Amino acid sequence: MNSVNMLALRKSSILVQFNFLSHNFADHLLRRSSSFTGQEFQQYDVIVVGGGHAGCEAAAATSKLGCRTLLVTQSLSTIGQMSCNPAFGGVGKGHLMAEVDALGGLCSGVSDRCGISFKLLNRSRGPAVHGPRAVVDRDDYKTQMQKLITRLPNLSVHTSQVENLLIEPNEQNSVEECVGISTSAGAIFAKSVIICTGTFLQGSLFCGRNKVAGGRLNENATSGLSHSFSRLGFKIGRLKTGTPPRIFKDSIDFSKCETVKPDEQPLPFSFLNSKVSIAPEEQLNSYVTHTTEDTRRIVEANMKDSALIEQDSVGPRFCPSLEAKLQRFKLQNFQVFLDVEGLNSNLVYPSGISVTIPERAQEEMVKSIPGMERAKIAQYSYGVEYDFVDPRELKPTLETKKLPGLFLAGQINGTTGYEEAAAQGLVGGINAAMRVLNREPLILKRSGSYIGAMVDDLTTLGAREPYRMFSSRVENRTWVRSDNADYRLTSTGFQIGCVDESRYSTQQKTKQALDLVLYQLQNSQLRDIQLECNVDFSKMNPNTKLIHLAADRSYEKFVPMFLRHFGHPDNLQEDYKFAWRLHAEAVFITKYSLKFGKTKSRSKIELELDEKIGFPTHPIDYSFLRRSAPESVIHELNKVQPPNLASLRRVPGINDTSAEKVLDYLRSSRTL
Amino acid sequence: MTNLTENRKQLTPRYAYLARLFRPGDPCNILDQALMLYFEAPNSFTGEDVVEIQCHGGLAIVAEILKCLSELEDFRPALPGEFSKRAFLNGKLNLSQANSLNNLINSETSRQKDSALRNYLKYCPKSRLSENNLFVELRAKLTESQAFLEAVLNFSEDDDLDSASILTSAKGMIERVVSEIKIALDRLKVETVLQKGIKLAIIGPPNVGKSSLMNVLSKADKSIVSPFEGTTRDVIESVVDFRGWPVRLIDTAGLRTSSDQIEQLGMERTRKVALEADVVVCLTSIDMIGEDYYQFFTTQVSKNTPSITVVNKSDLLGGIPNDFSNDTAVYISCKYHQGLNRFYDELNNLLTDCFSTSNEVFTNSCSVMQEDVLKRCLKELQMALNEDDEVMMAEYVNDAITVLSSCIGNNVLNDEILDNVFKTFCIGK
Repeated sequence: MNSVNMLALRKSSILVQFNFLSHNFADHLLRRSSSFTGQEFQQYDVIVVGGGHAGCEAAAATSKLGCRTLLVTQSLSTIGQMSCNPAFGGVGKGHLMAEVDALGGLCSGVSDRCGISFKLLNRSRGPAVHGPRAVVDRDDYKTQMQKLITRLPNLSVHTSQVENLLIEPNEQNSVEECVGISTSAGAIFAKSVIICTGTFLQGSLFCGRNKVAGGRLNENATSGLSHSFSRLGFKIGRLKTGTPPRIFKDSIDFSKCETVKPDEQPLPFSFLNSKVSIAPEEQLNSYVTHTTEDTRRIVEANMKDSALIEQDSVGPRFCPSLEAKLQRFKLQNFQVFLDVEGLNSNLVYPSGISVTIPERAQEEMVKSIPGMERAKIAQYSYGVEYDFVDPRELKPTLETKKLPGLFLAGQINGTTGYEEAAAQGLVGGINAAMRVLNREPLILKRSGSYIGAMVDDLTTLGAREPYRMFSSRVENRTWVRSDNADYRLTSTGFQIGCVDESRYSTQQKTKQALDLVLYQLQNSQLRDIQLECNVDFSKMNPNTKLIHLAADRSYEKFVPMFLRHFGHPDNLQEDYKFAWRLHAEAVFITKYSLKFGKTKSRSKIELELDEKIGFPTHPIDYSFLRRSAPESVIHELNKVQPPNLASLRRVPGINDTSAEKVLDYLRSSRTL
Repeated sequence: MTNLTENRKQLTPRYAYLARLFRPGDPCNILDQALMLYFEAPNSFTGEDVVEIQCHGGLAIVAEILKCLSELEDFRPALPGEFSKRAFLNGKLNLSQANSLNNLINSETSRQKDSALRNYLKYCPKSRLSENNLFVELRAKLTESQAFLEAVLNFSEDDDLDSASILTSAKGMIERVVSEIKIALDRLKVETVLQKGIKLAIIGPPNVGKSSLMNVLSKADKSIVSPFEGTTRDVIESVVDFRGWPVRLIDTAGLRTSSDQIEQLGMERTRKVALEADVVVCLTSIDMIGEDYYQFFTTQVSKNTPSITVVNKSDLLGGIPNDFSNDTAVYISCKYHQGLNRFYDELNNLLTDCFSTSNEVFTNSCSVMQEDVLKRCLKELQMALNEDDEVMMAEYVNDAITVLSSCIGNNVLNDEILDNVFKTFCIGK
């Protein structure tokens, strides 16, 4: 469908009837009434609502899987918009991106193309916590993403505001399911609907005493859907977040700031790329400055004029507003990280000073920071408060439990961050397509992926605050790493169909090359190659296996040498990413596997075994636990309906005894 | 229950009913008049519906009631420990509690009982003492150190954290836990000794009155006493309640050079016993004091084993000699029961020094399992401290936490560690 078609639809008689209906059923959810039958409908396989990071990945996944997909957005120009910080990746988030890429997602490839400053975080620590990150050109990212989206097969884009969900009983089992949406332009039907509306559900923007409805600055909030969700009985909560002011680059004196240099050998996010688009030397620097006592004084004096602070919605603790930081840490000054927003942009994004004090006070506040004495604000900082759906309403496929056919992905589920949204978009998209195609859903395991851990956390524990990915959330992080996401996931993606032939064969080739070199390194000693190298090995034991040198933190100087020795081609010797992956595998083999491999600790084995014990798909009434667990826990279990034993164990209040009882019960009722 | 009484009305939970019990189906055949108490699930010891019958104390009465009960359908006598087991399975007792309950029931002396009861109450969730639970405490400390490690691993480069000093603090916390575990293991050893009985070995040259002293201590003729050297060829053990201490008295064969094969075997055993004993009484007699037995004892008794030197047969001197009053040795006469009170006091002091478990410390009921948990935990932490890769360090600490959790029940969720991170550090931009 294109916009011309929609114009035609807008004039059709369906719309009139539809509006009439929607008026009549103001307090009900819309159902396809008999009066619609025989009419011509806009029928798709999948509708994706929202063109943010979740929406883009969802639409890309469903269209690649052959589903006729409609992407509905308020505005074409905001597809792929990075609404807050101009960066992708980091520790945990970089892992998610690697996994999204391994499953055929888009954001990693686009970031490689539009990144302007790449840095591998935690380089000095073990590879399990290496976090690839890049500052990404905001405008370029959006442009490239829009180009990709419009070129996708089976995909149409349509701009309008979604007002409601269409619900209809299933013909076979008469269970009500979601069959489409009603928009400002009329009804559109589909077998699966994915909602990725981010912060737009009942969104309010705060700056000082001002409060306006909106999802992002100058963009309308969505209220109809939020009402639909409450009427469906979904548990809705409210969260808040914020975005700092944007400063004109030419008004900042960077000489008063510390300079942070990007990596000289930038690592690409995507497994398809061995290099990023930008030349290493053309990358932009970032800068660091700090708040001062004056900053504290100004913000504290103006806090009484911030309406958002008074709201009791929950904000993220790991990304707090400056007001929150000042209140909690009384004696500290805080770091302000300055990222330039693009190669041709005159905007700077100052991380760490998101506030909701009035505009004039913001001017004063910014000027109290070294380097910004003459700074001019291009856009004031503001806070956002928005509705989210309790993710415990969702199955691990991200389909809602109450309304089959309806999927939710992204910030609407209480998460924060582009990467978290993208990963959910991918999972929701694949599973929405699986539903259309009548195939088995894709449920990633928490023992094998960051995505699996995130989805399991959300669907069993819910979101008390905006959920962000951390490496500490993943029990098996020594094996579940960003460097080997393709090992772990690409063949699964290929089987499903969201990974194409070329990505799969690239993965196979890389794996072969890595395995070969690892074999060579494990079976050679330093003395075997000593003569050929001009590095001074005299202090080292000549019997040292090469794999130990590849596992060393200064692997970069050894690896190319080894590759040359074993006669690998030049392009491999110069491939930083290959060297990095080799290093990570070497660390795993020589060190991490002590804790993971043969003598893998008990808890981790149990986690995997527990995940294999899947519970029946029909709801279980947990009241048989009455005697061993408090009422609140039983209530929680009845609500969450954990999909397997591992998830059950993570429900707060569940101890081993209760878990055993559940197993006994399931065995005795022969459902296991 | 209604089968057994004429009272057919619904029992109110936690009310005592005076009732006549009769043979089922035979109201004329009265077994006893007894008190009946009904505890409704889950508010009972086992967490299941329980009726308690308090009958008169004769063996025949109890036997007959039990017999009648077991004739009823679905009734059978409980297996040993079954009530505790059910309480455990129903989540009313945790493993530590079940263990200490077992110790409590098996206590024979007052000190054993005190120690076991303290542990039992401590593990009761409702008890105020539960905060002292060592395992919970250690786990909380480790969770905190894990939070420090995770702060470094997840945020150090993004945020303004001084990772070097955070790592040092984390290591400091782990080291403190390590030393606490070591102390706990030592105490656990003491508790184990208490539960099993303190092994007190009496060693000394032949015919100084070792068996006589043992008889005096046990107030019963356990050992064969005769005036001939080498009468006691085997290690003889008897368990006594010595001022509340459970003491296992071990008499040994005399230590001397002998060509008698049987005696040599006995002496070999004596040396072994002396090494394994918790306390050693080195006994000599006044007529042997010229021979350098003090020297001899030091070669026989390990430095770490607490010991007391006793000189028997003080009657031969007609009283305790003044010259020796500054001597650390205790002079007694088993034959005439002289100086025994001083010996008892000294021995009691020694036992108190070595085996007291004061109330403020976190002593634990001794069980092989708990000792094993602490040892495994200790091993993981020592590995953590030897590790320079922070990821591995966190892995080891994490496994130590998991090991501790197996003893406590609830697992630490990753969220709890993150909670700690955000509480302590200013994170985020």
